[in-house]
Amino acid sequence: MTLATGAPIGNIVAQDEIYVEGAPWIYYQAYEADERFNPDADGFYWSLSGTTAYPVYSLACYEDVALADDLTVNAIRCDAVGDKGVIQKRNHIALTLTLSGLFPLTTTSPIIRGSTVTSVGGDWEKMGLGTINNNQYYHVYLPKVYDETALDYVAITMHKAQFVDAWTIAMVSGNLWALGGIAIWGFADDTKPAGQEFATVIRYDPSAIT
Amino acid sequence: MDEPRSRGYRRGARVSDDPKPDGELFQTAQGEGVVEARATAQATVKPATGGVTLIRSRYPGRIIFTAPSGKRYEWGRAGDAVAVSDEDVAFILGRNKPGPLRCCGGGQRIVFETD
Repeated sequence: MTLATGAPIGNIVAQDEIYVEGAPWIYYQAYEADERFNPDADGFYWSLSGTTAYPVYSLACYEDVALADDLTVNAIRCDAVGDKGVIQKRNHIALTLTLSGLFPLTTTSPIIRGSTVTSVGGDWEKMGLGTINNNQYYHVYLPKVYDETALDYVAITMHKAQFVDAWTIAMVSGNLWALGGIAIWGFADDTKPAGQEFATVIRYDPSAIT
Repeated sequence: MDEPRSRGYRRGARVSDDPKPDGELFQTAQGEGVVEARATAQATVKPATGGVTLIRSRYPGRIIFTAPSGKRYEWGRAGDAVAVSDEDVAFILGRNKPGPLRCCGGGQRIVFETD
């Protein structure tokens, strides 16, 4: 439906009638590994590639996923006339979620900042909770297929992230254990080119992109 | 009352939820650089001649096994390769289990591979 009257004239870019529903898949990998496209032919760094030494971890079941920007915003305030502009600085990007899948411990240890997991005899997984290694970073990859037939998708790659904030495991009668309070902050990765320091967003949709 | 000359605050925007598996994407996300899950369970295993075979761990941590021979093997981290007596190779590779409980289209749990 078009506007009956009062529409602007000239070059107009309108949005698609495409909507994305639901959480993305969530993968993470040690920062030491190169990203899958490092970079691609167009200079973009994105996706992951698991190796023997640096596997890609896939999270199974989670809810309450949200991706948020964290900015410092200060107005350029001129008392005589009001705000004439703004100074904005991106601090980090924050992914928050609640995780229901807890095993194997190798997948959750980085999330709860546990120790290296030791597997013994194929029967035991053992880990500790000690001091936190603040020098370990991760890539985080969030792909979401929004058209299962055409395989159109959008994917966000956070280049240099850490699991931060205090977690809570809710142990509620009649309900599954849920690891809440998970926050993943994507920091500025100054090894990436300008404009991709915090993350890279990729969309594939041949039928809609011109 | 005077207004502060500048104010700092944070803004956030929510996106989504619902972890729906997608096999195609999962495979793609493995990337071209993935060390393929070789058929280690069917790998050629030398008979017990007193020799050794290098076996590499893909387990993302420390992993310890005591083989039926009584020998104890330890891999410190993923990517480590340890010389395993040929008599124990089948046992070690036999730890690669099917994964009925794996999420996201995951198949065999490949922990060990021959080097």
